[in-house]
Amino acid sequence: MNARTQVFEMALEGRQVEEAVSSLFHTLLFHRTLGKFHYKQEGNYCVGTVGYEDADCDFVDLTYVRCSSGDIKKIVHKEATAFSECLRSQERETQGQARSGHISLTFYQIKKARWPFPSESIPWEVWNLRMEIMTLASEIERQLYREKVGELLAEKILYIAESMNRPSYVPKMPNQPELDLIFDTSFADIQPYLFKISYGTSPPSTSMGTTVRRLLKDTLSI
Amino acid sequence: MATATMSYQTSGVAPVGLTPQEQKDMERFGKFLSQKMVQVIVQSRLGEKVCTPCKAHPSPSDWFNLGIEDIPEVGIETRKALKGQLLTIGSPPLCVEISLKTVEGDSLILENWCLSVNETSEPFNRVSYAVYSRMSLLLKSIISVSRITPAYKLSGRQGADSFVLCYRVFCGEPHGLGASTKNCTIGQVDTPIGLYSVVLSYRTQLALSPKDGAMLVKSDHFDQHFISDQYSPRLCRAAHHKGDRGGESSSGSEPVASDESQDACRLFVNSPPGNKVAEYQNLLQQNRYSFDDGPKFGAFADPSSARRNLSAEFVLPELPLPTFMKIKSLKDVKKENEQRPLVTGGSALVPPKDIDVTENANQTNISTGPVSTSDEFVMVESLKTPFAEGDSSHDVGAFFRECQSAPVSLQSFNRSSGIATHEIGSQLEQFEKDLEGYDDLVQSLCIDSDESGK
Repeated sequence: MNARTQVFEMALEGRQVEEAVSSLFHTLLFHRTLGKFHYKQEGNYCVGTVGYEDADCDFVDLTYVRCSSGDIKKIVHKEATAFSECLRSQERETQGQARSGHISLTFYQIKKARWPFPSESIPWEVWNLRMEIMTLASEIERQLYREKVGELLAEKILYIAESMNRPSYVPKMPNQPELDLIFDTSFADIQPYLFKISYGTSPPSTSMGTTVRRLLKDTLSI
Repeated sequence: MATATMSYQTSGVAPVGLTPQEQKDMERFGKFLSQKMVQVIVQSRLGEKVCTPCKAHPSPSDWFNLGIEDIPEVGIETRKALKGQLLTIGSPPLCVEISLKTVEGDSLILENWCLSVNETSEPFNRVSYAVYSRMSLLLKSIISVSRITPAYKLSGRQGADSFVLCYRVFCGEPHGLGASTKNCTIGQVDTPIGLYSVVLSYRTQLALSPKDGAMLVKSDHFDQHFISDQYSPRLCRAAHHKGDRGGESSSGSEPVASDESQDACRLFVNSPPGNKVAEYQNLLQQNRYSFDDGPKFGAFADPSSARRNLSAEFVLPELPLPTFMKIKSLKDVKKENEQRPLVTGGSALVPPKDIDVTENANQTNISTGPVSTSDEFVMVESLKTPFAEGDSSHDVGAFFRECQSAPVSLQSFNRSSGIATHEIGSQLEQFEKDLEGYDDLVQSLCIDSDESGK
């Protein structure tokens, strides 16, 4: 099965990277998070409640909504900050020349295989953000870019909402023994679909050999 | 019966058609989807930050497994718009209209959110969790998208002295928004009873053209950049008024339910949130003059020489108004000292003090105040209460002096109560004598009530 893949590209300042990644990833995770499942007798289950909160950006003219779970906020913040630092350190090393990188949010499910083969992770939805760091000369440009990046991210959020609501493949609700194959049950108060975040400072190559190598690497690493 | 905390069955063989219970459940899903949609849209335009907690175990009121808190007035408006009916295929859509109203009375519709039900393209045979979860997903999308439209940014800047955002819930076709409009379908949920769709239309330009019949407004008319335009006189006046109300607690919005004529409901925020207002208020405080700052001198004037040249006759004594009432001439003080018969209670008093004598010869209310002698002031006689009579013993000052301290003892406690005691005692004796008669009366009343009951 091929994963549904979507790529967003944007050019922005180094200090805007963390908020841009957070806003989009939190929007995606908010849509792909359910309440905790509690199974009862005869296969019945009830679902917990997902809370949400507004988050304001400091360097981008944008407010976005995210799940109010502290654990998921930590994970996204950690990955987005690490990616931002990675890009900005590269920019410093190259003395302000434009540098780019990519960060991905992948939703996957685990498929158990027969012994002696290990279980495999099969991505079913991948969101790629390709970012290029820019250096702006004046404060006026920064102010204009603050609004421009805000509008750009707003368009992406609208696209995400429209995409999420289209009829598309989503793993079906599992029985209790198979819950961990579809959902991440490590959170105390929520239950997102299994996901992982990965990033790199160079854009992904499109050659066949590199693609196969990347697929094998992703499968084995998950 | 379907409630917010539902139990779901894992997938099995689906029967054809809906059972009455499933039909009822599906209608409840549709009803609460309508209500929750209106709630999240209106709440996003209050100008407040929303924060609801995640719960591992659901509450009965958490429909669609989302922590959406309900505002009762909004629920009332929604039920009023639906008129007790459900949205069905072919019925007018349920619309939430967000408009802007200025203090001058001009109004501008900013966006329309419409929930409609159309023919289902893939009829389900069974109401399953899939339908419920898709409705939940749709609500999440509405929540996310509600923060990206221009109306959301305006909601954070609304105030009583500039503009306010209003909402209107109704069933029918929405009003057009003009040429600069963006339309987008947020999402669709296919259910056995119809295809639910949510469509958003919002203005991308806030300027009006004369064809719309409204007054011409600049594109930045409603845009208040507190940082870049901080010296704009209009913003100074608006922020000044906000700064005057800065001490009031921002208790949040209190949406007003519309009347029966379905006028737009108002969303009102006492003071706009955010740090920008605080920064701007600080700026105003720095530039604001106060009477405590002292006299102001003209340009190129030497303040030190100006102070030396001020003669004593232009210097007003810095006295609070009440002290004007207490200041008496030495002659009046001596006269009152001679008339004072007794001194009761309290601490020792050193004459002359600010003493007032009441008409009751047996009691003297003594109040002490700031010592005022003729040696401390240049013109004692002229410092009197404005608009007061010449004789200070019968004016407001006298009343103030009476009330300044508590009376030593209340007059009522000193009054003899012998007459009242005697009257009450004789009445009690009479009642005791007539006790048998009262008992007979009660007995007769009880007998009469029993006979009438039969």
